[in-house]
Amino acid sequence: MLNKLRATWAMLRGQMSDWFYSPRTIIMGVVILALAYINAKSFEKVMLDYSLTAHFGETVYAYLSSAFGNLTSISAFFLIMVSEIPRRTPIQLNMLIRSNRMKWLRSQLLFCLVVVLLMMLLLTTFSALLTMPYLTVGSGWSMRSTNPDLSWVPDFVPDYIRLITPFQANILACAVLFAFWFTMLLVILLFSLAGKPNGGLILYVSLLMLSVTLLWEQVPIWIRLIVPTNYATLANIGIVFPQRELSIVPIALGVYTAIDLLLISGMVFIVKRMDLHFTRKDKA
Amino acid sequence: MKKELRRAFTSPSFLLSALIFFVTLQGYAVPAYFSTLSEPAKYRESALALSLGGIFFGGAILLQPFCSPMAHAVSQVDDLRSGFMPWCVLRGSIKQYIFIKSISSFLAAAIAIGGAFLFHAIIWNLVALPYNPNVYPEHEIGFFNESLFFAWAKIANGLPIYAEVSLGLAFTAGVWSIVALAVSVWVPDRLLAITIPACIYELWSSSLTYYLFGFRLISPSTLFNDGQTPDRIRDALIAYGVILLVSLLTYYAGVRRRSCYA
Repeated sequence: MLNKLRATWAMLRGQMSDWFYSPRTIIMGVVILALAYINAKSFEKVMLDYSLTAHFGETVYAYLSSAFGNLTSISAFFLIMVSEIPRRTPIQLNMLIRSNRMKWLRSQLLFCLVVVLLMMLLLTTFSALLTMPYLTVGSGWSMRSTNPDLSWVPDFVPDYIRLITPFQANILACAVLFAFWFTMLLVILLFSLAGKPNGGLILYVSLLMLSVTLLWEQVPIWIRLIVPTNYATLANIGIVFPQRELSIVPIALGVYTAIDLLLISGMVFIVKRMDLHFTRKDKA
Repeated sequence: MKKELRRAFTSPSFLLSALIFFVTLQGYAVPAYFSTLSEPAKYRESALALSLGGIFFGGAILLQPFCSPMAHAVSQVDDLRSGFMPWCVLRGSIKQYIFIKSISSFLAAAIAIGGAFLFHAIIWNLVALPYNPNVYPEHEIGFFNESLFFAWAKIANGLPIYAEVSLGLAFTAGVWSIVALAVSVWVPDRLLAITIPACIYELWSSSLTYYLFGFRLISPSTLFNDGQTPDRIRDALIAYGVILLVSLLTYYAGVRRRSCYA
């Protein structure tokens, strides 16, 4: 058991170090942090301008439920950050020789999982640290304007979320965003393994861009219901399913799980049959 | 120069770039037109509103810096990876190579993006009623009183607006393609060459300078967006001029370094 864990850890470490030093990771990482910085600063400005008060938990909720204020761009740049999975480097061959196809695939899946978790942790910590000096001590929901003249200022936390605690709301927001990004990475990995590394990228960037290029108000409702970006954050789910916001979340997470299982099955099928050769020449 | 231009305008990526931008523009126009198809023509949106809607309300603004490098600038990565660039420099000079590559990339991006918008505008002028608020008061677009568009909308069904937006899109697309050239000579990665201009655009339009240094720059979409005044156009041209100059210098330094030490 310990040996298995050690082997998995070694493979994960190899993947991570390879990924971390890629120019795509470094450049896109800086851009994503800059976008998170802009979002945190604009949040701070709104709090100061409208005399809003906020506790730590609800601030984190505001960030997680909106995918750090810019779902399309942050997801698209994150996609480019991880677009090379599995990295076409000779280390992959070494891993395959010293393990087997299934263990290698497991390490890739684990890599996707860890990358998404790390990205969420990094962005949440970074944004929360920037907002920390402006927070009010306390727990629960408070983000209503203390100035009665500004009662028209929209709340960051909608009424249906105020029915649960900030901790529960953060867990839900985290789960939804994690499911969206993890599924996105699995799609990229599946296309890469199938020999079409750019296919998944084009598909997902198109889906992300569709959410900002199409005039959704004039599109039939059933089309809106099948667009993945509508299930990407807790706030988006709330917009598409008014009055049923919280009851839809478990269903959405269930659908994500089913899709992920299908994608993993597809990868197992491909990896068992494919020719594996990883050299720099194969780089997309 | 002739060979490079032929290469630029006959490559599939040139057509792809124009096609993506054209399709993006339809994201507003098609749903807006077809959702009101059952109503009399005068109650539908005018050709001008349908042509500009994709830019004013759709995502065309976001995708423009993404599509521009795709037209020809990414071929710089192929030139580097295939070892074609050192031969070009040997047969001519660094300056000649930079001149040819910059002009061809600028023109390819400008024609792909500006042409896609013009084609889109022509189609919607054939399909929908032309903009004429004197005959169809329902079509009146509420342009800002002091803006150039407010005065131009009354001339020849808004023809000067179409011309200005096409030129604005074409010029900014050209500048983003030069940015992509500068990127690709330092980081020879096709995806990054396409993405970095979009990243700069995104950070610029999100007012990064305001949150970092306390001042706002003119919006990067000023040259083809609403609310244009002569002052704003001048400021935007200066901003894009600075970007163009910095990119050309970076590109020159990159080509020189790769030619001398690669």
